[in-house]
Amino acid sequence: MKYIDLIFENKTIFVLFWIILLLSLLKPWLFVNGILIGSLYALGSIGLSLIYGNLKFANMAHGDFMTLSSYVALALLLFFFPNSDQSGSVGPFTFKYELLIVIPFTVVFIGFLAVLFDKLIYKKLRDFGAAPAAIALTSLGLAVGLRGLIQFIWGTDSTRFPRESKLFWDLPFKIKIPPDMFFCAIVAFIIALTFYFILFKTKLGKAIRATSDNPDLARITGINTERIILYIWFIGGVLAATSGILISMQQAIITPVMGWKILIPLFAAVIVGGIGNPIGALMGGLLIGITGEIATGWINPSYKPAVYFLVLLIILLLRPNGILGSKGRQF
Amino acid sequence: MTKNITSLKAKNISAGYGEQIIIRNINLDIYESSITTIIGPNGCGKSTFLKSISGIINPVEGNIEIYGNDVTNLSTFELSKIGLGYVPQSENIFPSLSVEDNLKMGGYILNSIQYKKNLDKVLDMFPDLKSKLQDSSSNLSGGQRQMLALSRALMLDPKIIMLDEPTAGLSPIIVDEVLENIISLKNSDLSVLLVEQNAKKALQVSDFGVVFSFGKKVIEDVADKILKDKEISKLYLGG
Repeated sequence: MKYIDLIFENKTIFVLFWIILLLSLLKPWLFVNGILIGSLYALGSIGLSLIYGNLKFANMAHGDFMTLSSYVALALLLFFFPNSDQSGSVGPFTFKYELLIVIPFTVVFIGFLAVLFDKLIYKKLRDFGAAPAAIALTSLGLAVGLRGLIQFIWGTDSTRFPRESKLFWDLPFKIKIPPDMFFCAIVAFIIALTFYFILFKTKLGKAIRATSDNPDLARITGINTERIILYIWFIGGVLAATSGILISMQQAIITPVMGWKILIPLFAAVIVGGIGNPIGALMGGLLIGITGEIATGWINPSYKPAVYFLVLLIILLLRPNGILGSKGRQF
Repeated sequence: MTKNITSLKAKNISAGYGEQIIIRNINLDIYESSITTIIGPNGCGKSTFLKSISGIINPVEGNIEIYGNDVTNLSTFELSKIGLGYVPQSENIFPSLSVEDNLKMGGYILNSIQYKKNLDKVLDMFPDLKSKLQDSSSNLSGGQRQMLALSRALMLDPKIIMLDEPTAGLSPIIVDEVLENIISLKNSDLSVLLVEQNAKKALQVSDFGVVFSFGKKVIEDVADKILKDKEISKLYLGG
């Protein structure tokens, strides 16, 4: 309820809310698309926000983890199921059953890879007392390195998962939903809800929030914050991998720069929602997705990144710490 | 007055931040079931000393022993496991968590039975928190925050507790309440190491007093004697 109250506590946000609602009513199909795409942005930005909230730096490699997860999933699919392109697809969706088998393995692999990078790189930087800006720049280096590795192994051309053409779902009010997009959005919402449950209802989640609030105090209370940081990397990696695979399933195409490109709306979502606040990231992701899609009803879709930043600008002018952000609080 | 068992021994401790050394060659013994108060002007290194004992900053020199065991190189969370509690001066609660979750984090390493037992014990000591368990800790008053911070530190059943200015910013009535709580900690066999700006009041409830100045220990004596010493009173207790 307190999240809904936010809409009504500021007149400008209230007006913006009604403008978006009105435009959504004029072209409801764009609003629905916006929710579906926004849910994927939300999933990616929750991971990004979680890492920022606890480790206090912008992880520039997040997008390339998303890309890597798509390529790893494809490689596992082709290695273990070389004939998967001849098998049937899952119900109304375009992807094959075999893809659903390799996704969990890929996601866990990327989670552990994120933990490994922390042990090899970020932990050492923390021990040296490196500034957050230096750690963020290191993550940029890691991002470029990962992208180079992807291009070296899989080439610079785009590629795609084995798939079967399926019809869009036709709904009233000219709403057409690609079944894959619906599937991806539902999975994204389920994972976001699971993450919410972990963060707010479990002992581990509360320890993550405590570490985010005050790492020194967390250590004083007996929390092994270094272990908590590993959990955070694992969860962040899992969220990045899941959103990466879902986005490539929904876009039906994988390119080595897809994660890098998507980093723009993800950062916009994180900042709009309130840096370091995963619930804010979820709201920010949806807002960015919806406004970006609605804008395509009137302007060229290539201007979407400009719309993201316009939304970002307006929100920050109204609430400098983002929708759910407040000074000194992360969750 | 006090039993003569040394619970915490700081030997020749020097510590600081980065290249800057704040405290030099501090030797201090803390005894079981006693209150030791460190006083001194702002910036003399009182808080830095507590931070170096708790492992938040690593001493550049010296050793720390707890009941005869060398704990110098133990990490902060390991020290909390072996019975060293610490309540920092500010930011001593988790503001994004509820009161109950703050206490849960205090007992993070406990099993559920031990947690329940310690929670009941702590709530008996601070009954005002009982009705606020579900409240957000960020909505608590200054006094309630200190109670929560103290309760959180007590959840692990520490043998030694270090309190950094627990009465800072509190009204006189609440200051007396907090000091009464500190006396009750001593009576339940805890060793209390207190850093206070409210020097006179703190020394009145203490067994021992220590005066820091410019990063060095300049006086160590029985609290009563420090209170009665006119020279010390003039220099450090405001006349």
